[in-house]
Amino acid sequence: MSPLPPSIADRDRRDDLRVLLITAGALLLTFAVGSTVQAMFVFRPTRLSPDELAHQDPMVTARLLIGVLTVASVLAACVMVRLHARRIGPVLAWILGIAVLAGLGRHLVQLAVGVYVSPSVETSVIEVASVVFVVVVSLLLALAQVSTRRRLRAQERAAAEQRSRASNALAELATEEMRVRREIAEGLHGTLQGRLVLTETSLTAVIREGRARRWDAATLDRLEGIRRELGTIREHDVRELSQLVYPVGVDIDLGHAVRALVRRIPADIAVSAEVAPAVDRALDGSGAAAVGRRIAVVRAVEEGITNALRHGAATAIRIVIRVEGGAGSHRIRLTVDDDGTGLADTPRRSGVARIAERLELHGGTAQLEPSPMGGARLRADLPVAAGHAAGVSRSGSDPSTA
Amino acid sequence: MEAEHVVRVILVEDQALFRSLLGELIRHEDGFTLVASAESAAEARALAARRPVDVMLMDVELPDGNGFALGRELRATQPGLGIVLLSGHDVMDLLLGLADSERAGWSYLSKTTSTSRATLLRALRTSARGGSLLDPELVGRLEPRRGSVLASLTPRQLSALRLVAEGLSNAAIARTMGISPHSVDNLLNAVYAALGLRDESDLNNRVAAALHLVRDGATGRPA
Repeated sequence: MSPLPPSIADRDRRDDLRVLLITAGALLLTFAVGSTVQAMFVFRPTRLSPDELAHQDPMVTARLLIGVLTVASVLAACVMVRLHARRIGPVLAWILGIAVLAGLGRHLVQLAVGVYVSPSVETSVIEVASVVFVVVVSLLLALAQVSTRRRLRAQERAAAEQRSRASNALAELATEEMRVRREIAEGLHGTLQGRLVLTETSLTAVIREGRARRWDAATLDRLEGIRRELGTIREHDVRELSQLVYPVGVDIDLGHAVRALVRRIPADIAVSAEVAPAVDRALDGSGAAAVGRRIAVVRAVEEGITNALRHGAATAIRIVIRVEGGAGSHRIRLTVDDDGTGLADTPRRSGVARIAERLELHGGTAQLEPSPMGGARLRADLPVAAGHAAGVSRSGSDPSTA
Repeated sequence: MEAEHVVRVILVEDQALFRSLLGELIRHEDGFTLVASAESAAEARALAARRPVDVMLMDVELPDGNGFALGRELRATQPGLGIVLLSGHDVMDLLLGLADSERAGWSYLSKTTSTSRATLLRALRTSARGGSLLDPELVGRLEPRRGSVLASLTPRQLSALRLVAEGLSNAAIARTMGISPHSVDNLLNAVYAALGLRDESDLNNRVAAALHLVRDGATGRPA
C-alpha cells in the first residue's frame, strides 16, 4: 500500500488517541467507581442499609473524587507520553510506569485526606497493587482496541485502493478498446475498402479488355459476377462489419450516428427519427467514457431497429431520443416504436437483455413493452453524466427533428 | 460554355500519397490553381487566412480535427468560400447539420466510390460558384424512404432531383434526360413544390433539394 499523506496520518493518530482515551477512560472509571462502591457496601462486616453506610462513611465523596482524579491523571499521562503512537516495547514500560505512579499517587492522596489512618503495610500494598493491576489491564485493553481499529482501517483502505485500481484498469481498458475499435473501423473503411475499389477497377479493366478481345462469354459472365460480388462485399459486408466494431458517426455526435443507422434501413420501411439537440449536448465529449455512452445509446437504437425488422415484420419505425426530468435528475430517454407483430418472440427479449446489461454499466435501463403503434417499443434510459447536466439545464430539453 | 475564371484551391489531406496525387491532378488542370496543400486543420486554417482561395478541398478526417468543422469555421469569416469534403467514411449526412443560411457551396465526395477525375474537378468548380455536388455514386444508391416526401415524387422527378444533387446544370440535366431545358424547369419546379421549397434563389432550392435526398434517402437493402 502506498504511504499515507501527512494530513491523513495525523487524522489517524488523532483517531487512535480518541479511541484509547474513551476505552481506557470508560474502563478505569468503571473500576474506580466500582471499587469505591465495593469497598463501602460489600466488604462492610455489619449489615446496614446503604443510606446508613453512606452516612457513616464521610469519606465516600473523597474516595470517589480520588478515583476520578486518578483516572484523569492516567489519561493525561497517556496523552503526554503519546502512548497510542509508541511501539510495543516502550508501550509496556510506559504502561507499567504510569500504573505504578497512579497507584502510589492515589494511595498518598488517600493518606493525606484521611481515607486511611495508619494503614497496615498489607493494606497499602493491596491498595497500590490493585490500582497498578487495574491501570495495566485497562490500558492494555484500550490499546488492543486501538490496534483492532487500526487493522480495520488498513483493510478498508486496501479494499478502497483495490477498487480504485480496478476502476482505473477498467477505464484504461475501455479507452484502449475504443482506440482499437476505431483503428479497426478505420482500417476497414480506409485501407480495405480502398483496396477493394482498386481491385474492382482492375477487374472492370480486365472485363473491358476481354470484351474487346472477344473472350468466351461464360468466362466474362463469371468475371462480371465476381466484380458484382466484390462490390457487395465492399458496400455491404465491410460496412456492416465496420458498424459492428465502431458505429459510423459516433465520434461526431449521436444525431449523426442515428441518421447513419436510419439510412441503412430498407427504403420500404417508413422511419422517423428525432434526436433532441439537448441529447447531443448531454452526450458530448471525445473521451472513452463519452464515446462509450454514445455507443451504448446507438446500440440500443440498433437493437430496436433489428427487432422491428427481423422479429416484428414492421413497416414503420419511430425513433425518439430526448432528455427528460428536472434539474439534478436529467435522463436520456429513448424509444424505438414499430408497427410490427408485437412482443411474442423470445429472441427480442435476449437481445434487449444484452442491451440492458450494456446500459447498466452507465447507470441505464432497457426494456420491451407494447407500442402505441401496435408493435413493440424498446424503451431505454441513461442518466445524464454530472458534468453535462448544467449544459442540458441551461439549454433546455426541447426536442427537434434530427 | 461560359468563360470561367481560374478556381483557386487549397488542398487539405493528411495522407501524403493521396495529397500528392490530388495536388498533381489540380496543378495540371487548366482553369485550376493549387494555392497550397496542408496536412492538418491548423495548417489549413493558417493558409486560408492569408492566401486567396475559392475552394477548400478537404478530407473530413484530419489528425487534429475534422474538415466539416473546419469548413464551417472558415466560412464564418469567408462566406463565399466553397468547400469540397472528401471522406473514406459514410458521412455525407454531415451536410444536414448545416443551417439554411450556410448550405450553399458545400460538395461531398467519397473516397471509396469510383469518383472520377472529371467529377472531382466539377465538384471544385460547382462549390466555387456556390453550388453543391454530392457524390454521384452515393446519390444513385439513395432510394426514397416510404412515408417520406421523396416517395411522393414521380420517377422522372426523382431522376431530375438526383441529377440536381449531382451538381448538374439545367442544360446538362436536359441533355442527360433527353428533354428540353424548359421541361427541366417545369420538372424541377414540381420537385421544389413537392419538397416545400420556395426560396427566391434557384441555387438555394437546388442545395436544399439535394439535402432532402440525403435526409430521406435510404441505402438499406430489404432485410
